[in-house]
Amino acid sequence: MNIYLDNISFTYPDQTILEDVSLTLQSGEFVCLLGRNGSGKTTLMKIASGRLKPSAGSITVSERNSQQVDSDSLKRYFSILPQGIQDPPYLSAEAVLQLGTFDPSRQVPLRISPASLKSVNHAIEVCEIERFRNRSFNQLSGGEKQRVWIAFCLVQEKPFLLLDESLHALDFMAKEDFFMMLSKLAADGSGVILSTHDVALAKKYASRIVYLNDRKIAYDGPGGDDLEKAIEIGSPLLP
Amino acid sequence: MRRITYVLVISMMCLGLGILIGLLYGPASLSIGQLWEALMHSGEKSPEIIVWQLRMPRVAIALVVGASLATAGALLQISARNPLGDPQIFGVGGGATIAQAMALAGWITSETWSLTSISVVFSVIGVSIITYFSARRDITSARLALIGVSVAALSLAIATGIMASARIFTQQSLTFIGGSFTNRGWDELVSAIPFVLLGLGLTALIAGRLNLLSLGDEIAHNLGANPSKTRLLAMIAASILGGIAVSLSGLVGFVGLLVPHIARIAVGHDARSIILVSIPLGATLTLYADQVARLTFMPAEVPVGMVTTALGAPLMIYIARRVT
Repeated sequence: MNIYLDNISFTYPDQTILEDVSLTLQSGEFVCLLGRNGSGKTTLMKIASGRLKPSAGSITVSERNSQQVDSDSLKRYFSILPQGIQDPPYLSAEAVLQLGTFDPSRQVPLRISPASLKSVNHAIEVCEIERFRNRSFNQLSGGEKQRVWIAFCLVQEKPFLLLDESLHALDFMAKEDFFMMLSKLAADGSGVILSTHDVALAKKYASRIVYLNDRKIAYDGPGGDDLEKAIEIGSPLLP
Repeated sequence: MRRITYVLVISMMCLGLGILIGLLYGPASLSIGQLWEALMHSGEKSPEIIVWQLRMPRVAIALVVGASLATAGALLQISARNPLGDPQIFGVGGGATIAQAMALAGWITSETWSLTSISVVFSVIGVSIITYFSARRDITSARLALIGVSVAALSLAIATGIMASARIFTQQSLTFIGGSFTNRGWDELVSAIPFVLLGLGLTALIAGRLNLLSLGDEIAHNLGANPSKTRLLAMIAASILGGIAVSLSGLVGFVGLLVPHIARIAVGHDARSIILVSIPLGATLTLYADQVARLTFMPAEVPVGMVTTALGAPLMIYIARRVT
């Protein structure tokens, strides 16, 4: 499945955040989104997931046939982990996952349905969180929380995962672990988009790197010398 | 599921015992036999009048107030993601406080049905003000708490000002501010019932979706829920229930804050379980507090709000140290 963001612009009355940005997202790809603070990464991700409406441009989803979609229906394609996400208070890891099976067209069932339980168990297996599934979420370590959040995305069974800088407070082992897990998910067919500041890990694990600079996409391709060049041009103050 | 059944059965048993105490004891204590007699024939003999006209409505009002406050507290704690959620702290009964003060001062009618309705309407208006100012794009919980606290303080100040300017007797103001079930009867209770049912019905409607709010608004929104709408409905339900509690009993503190915390320890995190258990727990706590208020210094009474706070505050301190 492909999702095409075409000629997307986003402006506030006094400021342009994104200007004529075009980007294609594919399932099976692990895309890392680089860019300095304030370069528009979060805005771009919010537009992709339908949380913000672009000021101009269109978004097309092609499965078997292509169709243009509005912001409201985009959330069916993306599970998200927003920036600065807070621990859900009082919930166990598994309870968090169960919330991921929410179906807006129905009342929340008192007892989880067999189908939902199956997908919860599957996500628990994939993310290897069986041994702390019943622990209280806020007692988990940073790395464990991260795994639960990824499982939470998987439970939703949506084709794409959007993760916005969800790496803070992870030690270097946990970070590497996190990247490995995401590239595995992409290999299994999900489309994964991660915004990050870790260029080294992005080059090591991502199948594609998108570099945002000065409201535009300055680089889109595999990690390599061209990327280094683009980053240098984008940041003239670096030595 | 089994645990919640235990908790419900135990709190129902405590509730039954409390009702019995409430009907039996008082300045003129009855024997079980006399109570049975009086329950069987509602007539003109003195035990019958004591039971039917004095003690029964008082017990029933304590139950309704306790259940309403606890439900409102649970709604606020869950929807605002804030452990300080309480109808008084969040100002959701603020409108009713002002309405009651105005009625005491003789500025508006004190006819039962009108006053109850006015109290509820004022509460809903108060909560609309709170949510209006909280909602810039989304209704966030921090803003909700800060603005709620301000509205609560403001409405109490206005109510106190009204009572002072109208030179209301100290006794009456103290009864209202301290919270009390004296001078309330079947009429007040009956006028409250439709609103309580409305508040509880609204609560039942949103209870399942309240759970999603603990994920944060952005994720809840991505899952296809509408967190702002759920939160708004929770606030309205809380204001109806909180307003009813104020109009029945004045300011009874701590029930709304304390009970949902006990419920959470007893049955876990699910919003529906917490609310379901908060209803009988709140009723029980308030009923027992009223027995203390009535019986300790008989024939004098202390305001029941003093008792709930005196019982609730130490318990809350204990829970706060244990849980957070």
